[in-house]
Amino acid sequence: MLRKLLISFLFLISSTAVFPQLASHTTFLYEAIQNATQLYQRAIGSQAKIYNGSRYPESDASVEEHPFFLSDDWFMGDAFYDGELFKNVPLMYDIVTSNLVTEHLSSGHPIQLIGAKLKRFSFAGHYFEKIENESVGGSLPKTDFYDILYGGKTKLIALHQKIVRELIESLEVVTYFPEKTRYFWE
Amino acid sequence: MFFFQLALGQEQALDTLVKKFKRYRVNALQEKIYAHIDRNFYLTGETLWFKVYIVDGNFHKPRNVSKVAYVEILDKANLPVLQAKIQLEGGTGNGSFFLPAILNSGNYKFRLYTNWMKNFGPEYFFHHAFTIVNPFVRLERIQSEITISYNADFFPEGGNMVAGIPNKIGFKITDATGKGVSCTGYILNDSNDTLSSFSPSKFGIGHFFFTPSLATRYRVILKDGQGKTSFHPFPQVHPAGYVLHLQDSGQFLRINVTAQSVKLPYVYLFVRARQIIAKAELQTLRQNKARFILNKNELPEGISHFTIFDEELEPVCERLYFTYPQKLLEIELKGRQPQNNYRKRVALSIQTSNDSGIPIPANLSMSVFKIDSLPENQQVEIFHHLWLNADLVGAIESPEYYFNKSDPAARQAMDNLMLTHGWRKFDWKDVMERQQNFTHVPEHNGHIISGFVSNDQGRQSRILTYLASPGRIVRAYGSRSNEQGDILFDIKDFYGSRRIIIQTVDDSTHNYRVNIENPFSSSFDESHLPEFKISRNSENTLLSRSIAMQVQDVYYYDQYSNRYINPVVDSSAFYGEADATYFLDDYTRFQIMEEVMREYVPGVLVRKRKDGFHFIMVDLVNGGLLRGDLMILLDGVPLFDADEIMGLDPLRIKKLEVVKRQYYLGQAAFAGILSYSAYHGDLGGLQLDPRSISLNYDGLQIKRQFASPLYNQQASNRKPDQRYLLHWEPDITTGANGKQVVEFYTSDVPGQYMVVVEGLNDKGFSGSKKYTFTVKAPDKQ
Repeated sequence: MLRKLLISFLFLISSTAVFPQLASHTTFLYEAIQNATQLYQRAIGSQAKIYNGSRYPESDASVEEHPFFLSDDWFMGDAFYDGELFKNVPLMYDIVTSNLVTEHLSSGHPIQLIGAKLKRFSFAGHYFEKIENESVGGSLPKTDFYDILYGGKTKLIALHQKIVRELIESLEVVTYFPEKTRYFWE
Repeated sequence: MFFFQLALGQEQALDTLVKKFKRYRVNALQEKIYAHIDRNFYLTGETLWFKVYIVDGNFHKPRNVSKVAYVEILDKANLPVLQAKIQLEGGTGNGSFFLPAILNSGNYKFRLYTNWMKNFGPEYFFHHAFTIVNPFVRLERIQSEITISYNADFFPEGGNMVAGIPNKIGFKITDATGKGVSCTGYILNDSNDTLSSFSPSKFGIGHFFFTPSLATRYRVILKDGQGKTSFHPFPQVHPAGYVLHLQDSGQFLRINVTAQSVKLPYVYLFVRARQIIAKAELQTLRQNKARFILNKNELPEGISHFTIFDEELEPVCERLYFTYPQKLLEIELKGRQPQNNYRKRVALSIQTSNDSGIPIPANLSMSVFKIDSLPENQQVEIFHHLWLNADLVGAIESPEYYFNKSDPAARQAMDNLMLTHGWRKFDWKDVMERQQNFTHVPEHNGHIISGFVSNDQGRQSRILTYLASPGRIVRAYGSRSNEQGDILFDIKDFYGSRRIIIQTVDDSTHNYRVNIENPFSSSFDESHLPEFKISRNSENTLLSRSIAMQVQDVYYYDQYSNRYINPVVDSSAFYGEADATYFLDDYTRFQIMEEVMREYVPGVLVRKRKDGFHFIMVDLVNGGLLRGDLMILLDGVPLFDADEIMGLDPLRIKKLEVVKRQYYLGQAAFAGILSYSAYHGDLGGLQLDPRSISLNYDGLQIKRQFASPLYNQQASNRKPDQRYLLHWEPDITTGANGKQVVEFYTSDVPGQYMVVVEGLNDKGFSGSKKYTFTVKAPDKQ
């Protein structure tokens, strides 16, 4: 309770007494920058470089599990692709093949982004970055997108992977995607 | 009760005004742009270097919205003689122009803007006048014009002169070239009686008070120093309207509004500076007068606009007022050697700090050049440009004069300047309108090539077009025309001059044409270039500088003058790694392409039908065949007919890459990709469809490197060194302690040298510094 009170008290000071003008003065500029940038994005539309990739293979409808990280539904996230940062785009991350998938704007089909042009991406509070294994002296299992859990002086990163396991149950092939997460720190 | 309700309605109107302005400012981002140019006087054969700074118009902080700046050098008739597109990153960029010998001697205009700035008109661009002399063409003796003519412009404070009210009237007297002149003016009535007289205080600018009446027809007579007189019209006197008068009384500003024969008793005052709202207030006229009082502390730094609105929210008066800004970046320069000999190292230590002397980091540019006696147009400094010139219409003579705030005459001159350069073309109509239409989008990533699709019926929408630049890097861009028929291509890594090919997919029945637009602005501001004058005494100075330029050209062209910094580009194809790659030399060479495709490209089926060849791709991912058209590329250029590739000599093809998947590129989808590369990236001699457009297009300028000799202890360089420009460094950053050291070597040219350092920091501080030193000829031994 005390903490809550303190916070609201601080907020009161900062919003009304100390920076009343500053706050209202600078926010309009950020909005203006955002609006101008959006004009560019709207003009580029579906031509944006993020809509460049091959069609992501349709999954077998009979499979109940999925190869994605967290969920097989779209997350809105950011991706740095082909030298440009794309904000608030639908993303799914296939951790069987390490392919980031987005939705093609005009057709609505899922497309997989070209791994070599993808530097980093983030969604659902997870921040993935490509780490070249050579750059860390081969101390990681492979070059891949690692989940940066803590990026300070000491780094804590995780490699999320799923493998495809097919079992025959009652004369039917059932696909499972058991997940394995490995942690590394530096 | 009735009165109270009406007043409530007025409060709402005021609220609407503020809301509308707020809506406008979040949609109309203001950019200010500035260039530090290495010198102001050039010979053809020399290189002009420049650094670009781009900031927001509100807080003057470097911004990253636009990534391309357009630079043009215009001649007297506003014809561009040189043009370039400069890459911007983090709010700065730099470039250069080699000044070719085809240029005539004269004054030229350097102008600079972004695509986004084109929405707001050429008055907002950066302009700088400078001189180029072509030493190989004899200068024609210009017949100095014997007819001297003057211009007198009058600017009633607030905008209108109303009868029966004392009006403060600003004026500006200029000669034919736009330069301010000192003349005495007299206001005469119908019977030629002198009613009042006035004379400018500085640069032809001044003010006087006058109470006009409707019954009299006034005219003005100007008398110059030689006693020559000329007649000029006096501004129109209105029978009704509003007059604004600003009174400075120490800490407060009084804004007096006097109305004559107006219908409604309410007036609104709206004060803004750099889009920051300082005040919005309502007053009732009593006996046709209203007064607003403003504490000067309420005003942001720089130019404030005071606008008076009437009851119907029509702007009726506007007046500018200047508050001296504090955000000056202090730059200190210290040289280790006050006297420098030939070919000696000069080390300059730089210290950047804020106005209270606390070190702050900054981004700077530096130019070191010989001061010669040639006439120069002074360049406006960055601080003066951002706080003054960029917010005013028209050229301002000697802006630095006005910033001397401890001088009362300079402060008075500043206020006169505000009177006479007011009424800037900020259109309240744009603010009041619900929708702002900006046709030029900011180039947020790189250069955007734009154009439109049309045929004989006019512009055509929904037409898919492709742009490609034939070469080793396979990159194609698709754009479908919008409702207005516009197309645009957001081109990545496009540097230097390259051939581009634009085509439409559709068959020949519709006769679609693709038109590419010139990205440079075709509108110009009204500022004049100063008259080009060069005196006979300059002949020797010009000659030695010309010889020096030629000596440098002979001895150093390959070593220094022609070095470029190659930009880092992504060399991979747009589709990344292909599913299969074939180097045709690795296989038995076949005579025709059909055999190549049938014999060793598995997964691509070749079908021959009545209308020619077709390729069908096997889907690598899902098996089966991919349906739809596949994309055929030759050196990155899309071909829409398989026959074209089949007709090609396979010996000209080096490599074939195959993508065996359903592929998406922007608005287009393909059933796989076949990407052929010719040996020389030249389309293997293929004749393109005559309907396609092929042209050479300038991308972003490739940076030329400024290089100069380094003389170590054992200077054994026997080549002459006639550099007049000792150093140019466009990107100097001082650390958190505000310190940096820049080193360079002197040449064999004795004389006075000028160092100019300019720059800004990310907190909105800007500034510049000049420093001079002497290079002495060594004593003869």
